[in-house]
Amino acid sequence: MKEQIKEILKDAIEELNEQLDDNEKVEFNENTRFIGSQAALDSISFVTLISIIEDLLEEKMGVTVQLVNEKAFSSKRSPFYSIETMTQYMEDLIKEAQK
Amino acid sequence: MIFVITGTSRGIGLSLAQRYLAQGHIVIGCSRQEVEFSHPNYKHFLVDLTQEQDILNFAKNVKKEHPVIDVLINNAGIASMNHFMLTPLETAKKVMNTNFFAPFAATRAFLNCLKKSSTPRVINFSTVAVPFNLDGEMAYAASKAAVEEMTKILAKELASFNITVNAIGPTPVKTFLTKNVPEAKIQGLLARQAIKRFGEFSDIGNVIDFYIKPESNFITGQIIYLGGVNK
Repeated sequence: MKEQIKEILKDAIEELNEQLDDNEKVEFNENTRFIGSQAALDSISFVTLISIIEDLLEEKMGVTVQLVNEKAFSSKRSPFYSIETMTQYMEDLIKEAQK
Repeated sequence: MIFVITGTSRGIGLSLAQRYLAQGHIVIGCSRQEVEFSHPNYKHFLVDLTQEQDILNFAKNVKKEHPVIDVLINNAGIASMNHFMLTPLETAKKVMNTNFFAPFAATRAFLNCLKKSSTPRVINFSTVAVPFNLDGEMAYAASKAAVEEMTKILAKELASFNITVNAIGPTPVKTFLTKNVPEAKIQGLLARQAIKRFGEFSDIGNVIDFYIKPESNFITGQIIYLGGVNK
């Protein structure tokens, strides 16, 4: 499932990049940070990305999840930190939704 | 255009569903009960708007047929018309759940569908009880004041998606929501309006027609009260 989620993340970033100027485009690699002082995108772009990911999860995996929930905010380390943490977080959410 | 309207089984929601169906639009409605009308362009869902999962399932089912939604009208609401001392906390929570948290959750659930529209609109419902600071309706007015604030802030936060967010504040309209309000109190309210009459469903439809016009894409974060009421 992880590979499928990573593909969705990649597609989501590509879709987001289409809306961004050249100097704002986000790279898809293990060093990309989505939040914090090293974040590659501003808050509006982050919100847009979340919304694109939710849409793609529904479209490609048929699963409806809300990425931003209590769990995301109560975790000591934000699940939105990197591609890796987001992939793991999304996998947990999807498994929970499919129960 | 494709509309999602909450609370279409009666009152204002029902009249709005019928108004936009009559204009040739597609309307998707919801309520806790079945509706007593049918129309080829109308689809009804049974939804308990106080349950987030119900709202998410509703949005998921709507998206299967309509991935793009043009207008979301957060109409469903409940009232609690009693003195503060006669309002149990549970009642206040119920009012807040239906009047504030439900539009919050519904707007979130339908955001992706709205984003894909060329003229996306969110319409919320306030009330003149907010500018009147109406005693005897504290829980109701407070929940609608929260809706007003949500409207103004969402207007800013969703502007980058080209989504406009506006609200209407009706005066008393003859519906199930006002039928239990004492006549003297209603007359007192009407007397505070510039134009001293009940609101009609068409008065509300008229304001929404304005908000959803393609030319209204520069109108957002606004609350229009009927009857000449001001804050």
